[in-house]
Amino acid sequence: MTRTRTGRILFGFVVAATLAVGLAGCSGDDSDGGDAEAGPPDISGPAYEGSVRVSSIDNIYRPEELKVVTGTEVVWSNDGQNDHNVLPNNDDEDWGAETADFEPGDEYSHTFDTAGTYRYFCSLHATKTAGSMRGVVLVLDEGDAPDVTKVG
Amino acid sequence: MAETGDNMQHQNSSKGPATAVLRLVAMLAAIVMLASACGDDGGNNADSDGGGDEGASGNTINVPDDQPTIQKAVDAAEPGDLIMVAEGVYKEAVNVETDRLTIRGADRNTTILDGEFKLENGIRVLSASGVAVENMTARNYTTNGFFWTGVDGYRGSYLTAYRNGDYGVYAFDSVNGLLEHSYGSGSPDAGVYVGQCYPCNMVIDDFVAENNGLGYSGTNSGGNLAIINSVFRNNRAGIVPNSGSYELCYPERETDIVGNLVYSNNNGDTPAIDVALLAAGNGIVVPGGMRNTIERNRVWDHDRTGIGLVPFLEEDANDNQPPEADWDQTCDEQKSKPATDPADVENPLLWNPQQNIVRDNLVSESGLADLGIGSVDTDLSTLENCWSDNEAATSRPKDLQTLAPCDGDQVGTVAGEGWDVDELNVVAWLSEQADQPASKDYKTSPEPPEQENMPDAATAPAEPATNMPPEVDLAAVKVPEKPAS
Repeated sequence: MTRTRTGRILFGFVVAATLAVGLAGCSGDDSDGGDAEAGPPDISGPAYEGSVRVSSIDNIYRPEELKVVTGTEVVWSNDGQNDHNVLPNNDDEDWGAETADFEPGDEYSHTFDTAGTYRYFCSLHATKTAGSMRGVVLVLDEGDAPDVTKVG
Repeated sequence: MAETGDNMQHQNSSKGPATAVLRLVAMLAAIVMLASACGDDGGNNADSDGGGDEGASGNTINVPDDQPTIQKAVDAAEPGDLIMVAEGVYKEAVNVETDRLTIRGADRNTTILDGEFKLENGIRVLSASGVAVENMTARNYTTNGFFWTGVDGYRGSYLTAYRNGDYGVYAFDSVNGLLEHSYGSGSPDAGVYVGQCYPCNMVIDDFVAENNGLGYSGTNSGGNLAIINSVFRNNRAGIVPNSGSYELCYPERETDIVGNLVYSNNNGDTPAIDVALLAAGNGIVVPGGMRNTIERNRVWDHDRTGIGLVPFLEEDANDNQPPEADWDQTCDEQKSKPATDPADVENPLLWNPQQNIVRDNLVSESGLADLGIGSVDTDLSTLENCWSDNEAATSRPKDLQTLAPCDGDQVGTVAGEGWDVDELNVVAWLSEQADQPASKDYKTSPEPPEQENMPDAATAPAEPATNMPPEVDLAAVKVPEKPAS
């Protein structure tokens, strides 16, 4: 895979919008962070549609929380210097990138067509329930997202 | 030996009312720690409840007698417990999420965690405060031997980590720690690594790192971070504090590197990441680090520099450098800032070494220069680094200690001219990177010699890492003697 800059301009915007959500909680509290059985996260701000980027640096996803509408492509890029991966908390879900396919400079994309809460983690640097490198994509049907911003 | 099962009770000869009281106290202490820890990683001492073995529960879980695996023992443990691991080879990857555990091997050399080149981390502590790991070996993991991440309070003592695919001993996004009497070899990145913390409030004391890509690496770490009384030898490069936007909390700053033996870091027969190839042949090299103090080290036998201050040219940077006014911001403060729009990020991004103090070191037998500084399209006189009272035969530029002497803990009067005499050509290192011996497969790294055991491992009480780091009198750390062989 080849690393590209396409779409990265959206990254800062998405991060800025979602950081406020992260700051509202306690970053060290793992009680609701990665449990596949936990309810949907409360993510303020608009939902995104189109193509949204998540930057994976050492060792965190930015943004950690993302709200999109169905049909949105999420592109994870390994912008760090270490290997990482993107693994769904729910082992039954058929998406994600293994370490060998997500080395520094690599990208992985997945289009979420079904509404739901998709939690994921990097197994090298976190578990499903603890550690800094965890993320969540909240996918809403367009009718359930009053505020939608098109990106990409 | 039978597996105990989910409803096991801790096996302990001292069960009774006193133990119950201790447990209650430990639980209350844990609640207090949890309530006070949220959002504050700068003051573990305020969270802790004293020194010594305070925070310990008095309970011991023996592996494999009480629990068949280390992971099962960890899962069964409560805060403050001691997990004693008997001699043997344990083919498991252990995750720890319980506060104040002490996990101890019976014998450092024969209590071995083995990842068989399939498992990722040996012992990984995730967001659990005060966990101490002692007296054991982790080998053959695809990423790290011992790993603390997102913790407040940690200690690693008498650890041996070798043949691991990323780092030997690794502390990331963690504060208030101590790594001591430990050993790391055969990792392509670093034998010991501390990253993304400011202030880190941690000490590396009596660590030996050899046959790695880098002996020590510290990206975006610093602030009351001391590397003392340690040995870095036969790596590609020895001690490498560095800055970059591929981790948060940049730049690297305020690391004290004092009283270490640093020698023969020209070893082409090691595993190595790209950065290790770039940095090869340097004893202490500071790519883009700020405000570090490097003093009273004995450094010799390096193909390039003994102590080199160099730039790091970051391709595809994720953010710009923070202005100097922001260098005092804590890691938490920096994390809370919105990311920079990628369109506004300077690329490539040049991190220059600035405001570093290099003094009272004994440096010799360097191929390019005992002391050096170089950069790209930069007036070196503006970087405010200084050199004084080093016993060094050569420098690049020439007469470096005259060009920019230190004045106490400050940079003295810096000469405006003379920086172009015998310049250190660091740009050539980029092209020479391809000529370095290729990385060896970490899986083929040699076994280390037997390492010193923890005294009284069988009888010493649990000692959670509740009061880290210990106070260090840096002024009392002397230049180490050269080893006999």
